Amino acid sequence: VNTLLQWWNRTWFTPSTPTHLVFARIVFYGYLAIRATELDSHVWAEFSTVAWKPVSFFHYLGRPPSAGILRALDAAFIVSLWMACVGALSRVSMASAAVLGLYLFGLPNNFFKVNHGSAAAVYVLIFLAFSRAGDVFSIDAVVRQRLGKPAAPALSGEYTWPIRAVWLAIALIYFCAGIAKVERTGLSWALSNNLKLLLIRHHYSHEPPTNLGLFVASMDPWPRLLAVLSLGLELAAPLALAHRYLRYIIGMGLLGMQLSIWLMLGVFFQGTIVSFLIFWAPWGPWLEALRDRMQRFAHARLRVTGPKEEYDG
Amino acid sequence: MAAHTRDGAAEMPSQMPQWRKCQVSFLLIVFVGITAHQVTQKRDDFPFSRFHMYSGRQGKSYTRTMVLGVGPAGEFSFQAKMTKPIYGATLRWALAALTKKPERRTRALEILKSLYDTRKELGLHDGPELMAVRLVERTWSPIKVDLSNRSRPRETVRASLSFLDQRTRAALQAESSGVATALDALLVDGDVVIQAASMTLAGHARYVKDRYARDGKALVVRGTHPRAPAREPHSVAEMEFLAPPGQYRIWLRGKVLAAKMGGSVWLQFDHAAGASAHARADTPHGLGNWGQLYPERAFAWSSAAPGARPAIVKLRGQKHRLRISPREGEVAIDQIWLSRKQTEIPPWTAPVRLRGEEQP
Repeated sequence: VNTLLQWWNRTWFTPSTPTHLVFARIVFYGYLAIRATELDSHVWAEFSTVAWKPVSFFHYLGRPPSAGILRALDAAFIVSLWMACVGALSRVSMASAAVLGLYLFGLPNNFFKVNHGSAAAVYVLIFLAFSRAGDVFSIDAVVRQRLGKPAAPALSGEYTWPIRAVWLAIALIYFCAGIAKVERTGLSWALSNNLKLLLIRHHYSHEPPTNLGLFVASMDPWPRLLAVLSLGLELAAPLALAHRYLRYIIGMGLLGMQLSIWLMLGVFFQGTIVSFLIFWAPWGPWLEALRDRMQRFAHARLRVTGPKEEYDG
Repeated sequence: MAAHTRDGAAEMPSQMPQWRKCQVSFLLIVFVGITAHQVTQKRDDFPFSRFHMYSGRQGKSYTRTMVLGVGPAGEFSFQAKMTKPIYGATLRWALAALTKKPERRTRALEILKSLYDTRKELGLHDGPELMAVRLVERTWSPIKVDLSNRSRPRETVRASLSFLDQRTRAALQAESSGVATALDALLVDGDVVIQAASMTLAGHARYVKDRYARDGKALVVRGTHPRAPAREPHSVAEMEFLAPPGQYRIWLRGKVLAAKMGGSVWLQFDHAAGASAHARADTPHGLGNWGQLYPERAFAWSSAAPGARPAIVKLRGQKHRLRISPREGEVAIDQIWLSRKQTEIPPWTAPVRLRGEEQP
């Protein structure tokens, strides 16, 4: 039990700097705030009077409120996203963004079609709502400093677990997708010409940005190899949590697969890809290395220019 | 209690308290637990899911329900920007699910039209004037890697709905009340325009004076033969006319005088006239059906029905025979326009005349 607890502690609560989490907070909330301007949730109020098939918690919430209230909720969501982005009242703004995001992103799923594109973004909203992402580089931090309150620690497990929780969520999305394929179609999903037919079919119904899908479909046995690789990556996704190298290898593979889905099938899972890019890539070390390099560069310039400035003739 | 950094500033403790770790651990375990529940129970409870998209077996043929807009130049596919947030799979699935609830589907399409127009006014898209919406089922069998049959699917129109803009609605209501002035005929080229007032009548078919008809009188037929044209209907109008061989879309300028349903007639050409007891496959509900959209006693154009794809007739030879008989209700007909160019319902209600014809 002790070993298990140690492993659990190590996995989730190893202290780290807040750099990655802060970067993720700013970019993710900023991205969602821009995207949320297109929600137009008020439209669902009227549409729900003719087409309404509730899913999930909407069974208990019932039909959406009036168009006016939905407009207000959209506005509140955008405000809370921007506040979370700049770290103003961050605990409150991140919590309200999570609650409103859950409702407003969930609303379009009650009209006979459940879309899965926004699930990753909602997971991130929920995890960040419980996080301390507003500790540094935020309006809250400035206010705290002005009031003489203690500064955020340089290292903490609070800055580790939210990033890893998003890794877990993304890994589970792919793992579940892999399980569903095996469960519904069996290994023949990968070993038959299933992917070939899917690639062709999407050129009848969608407008993929390239003809790469048709090219692959015409090159037997490449569709099968691609299907085996995709299914293998999906089923192996949880292993990415086990080791840093596996995370990079599987992560690159999954990102490649996601981009291929766009290029070959014309389906762009924007929320998943953005969450993936923000949280999966090691932004913490990259940004810290960049900061160190800039500091070294600034010091070097100071050393070179310093004596000249002090020379008074 | 606050710790202190090397420069003496106060700092929050870096060690996470146990209660906080328990709280976070609980959140993570619940998340994994709910996801596992979705997978084992095959559920789809937003935001959780088993993410089963694209997990099914693909077939060699492919059927897809499309929602098509109809503009003056013909059908077009809706782009997301035209009807956001109701678009794509959500729009298709919602309309397909309402197949057995026509009233609700009609209302859903009206909401769609309103959304389309609002977004157009806001400059969010530059789509054509939306005259109708069609729910079309397209099947490609088999699908081919060279996409050689992509533009030739087998199509079935599942539903269609036409829209009236406020100006036209007001004009039709004025005509219906008898307070509107008669409209001048619009010029059309290279087509066949038949005046219903010049047909030979039999049975209860009759002409009535009508100042809104192009020749000042309209053909009126009445009867109930809902399944197919009767061999010997109570009222029938016939005539012979000249037209070059070719494929024509059929447009009728008519109106409902009294009908519980749409008000419709049967049209039969050449050998079919009077001989057939079967409805044509593309017009199982006859032609006209003005009552589906237009007010009673106001002339408007229609083919099979307002918003429906136009009925097509292929004529061989030069000399032809046309027979009009009632299908349902009492309807008045002013003109029969066989057109090679007018591919969609005319966006006007005035009669038409050929170049060289005088205005009456």
